[in-house]
Amino acid sequence: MKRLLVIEDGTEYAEFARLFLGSEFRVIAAQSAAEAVCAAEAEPGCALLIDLRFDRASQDVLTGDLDATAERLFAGDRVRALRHLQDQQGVLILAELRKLGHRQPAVFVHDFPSRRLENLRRLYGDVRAVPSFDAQALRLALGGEA
Amino acid sequence: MLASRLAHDVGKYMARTAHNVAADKWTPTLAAMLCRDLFELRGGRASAVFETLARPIESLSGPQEGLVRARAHLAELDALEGHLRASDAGALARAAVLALAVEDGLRKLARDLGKGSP
Repeated sequence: MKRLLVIEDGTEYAEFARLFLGSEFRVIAAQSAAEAVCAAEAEPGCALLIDLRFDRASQDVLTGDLDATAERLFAGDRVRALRHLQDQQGVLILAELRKLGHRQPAVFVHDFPSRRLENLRRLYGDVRAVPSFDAQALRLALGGEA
Repeated sequence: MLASRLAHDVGKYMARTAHNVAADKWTPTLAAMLCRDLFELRGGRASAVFETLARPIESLSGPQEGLVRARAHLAELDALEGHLRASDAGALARAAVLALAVEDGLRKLARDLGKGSP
């Protein structure tokens, strides 16, 4: 059976995946960058389903340098920088995984504008997106049977 | 940005189950999951999260037809709650239609207002 690493700050994606994609994928859940790295190392080659926003994650589990982000993007405003890290956490986790050599397809459930998606592909290789929790579209994006 | 967040936090999650269940295929497990999508989103009921995020948009951009429609759909969903929790087949089918309509409308609004995503 194929394996799917679901990375999110809650449980909605994993619940969805187990119910609607579970016949094709064994679902592994991770709720932080550290957990995602551990799971990816333990399950090399598994497809990635990643939530973009980690609104519920506390600062201590987020990946990304808060102070550097504040200085670089928000004139030192750490509150806005934290919000940015939460809003973009899925991409930041993907960047960590890519740095470690994990090149498998990564799928986001997000309505990215086309230019944003092109940019993500330039930076992180095989990145795909579907706009909604549509299991058939996700199966296709993950390389399974529609 | 605000409209994109509304489409994500409300529209995407409230349609999570509705996308994947045919009208006559609701099981108790799926009905319960739909109820969580509608009434137990992160932040509370979909209608409440919607109001929290929609009001700043209306303050900044004025009245939006897409928000008016979504608000009406959400009110209808709130009124259906008892029937949904009782797994009433007609209510489940109607709720799925409404949830998908809200998601579609909010996504269109985000594109129209924001032309982008965070």
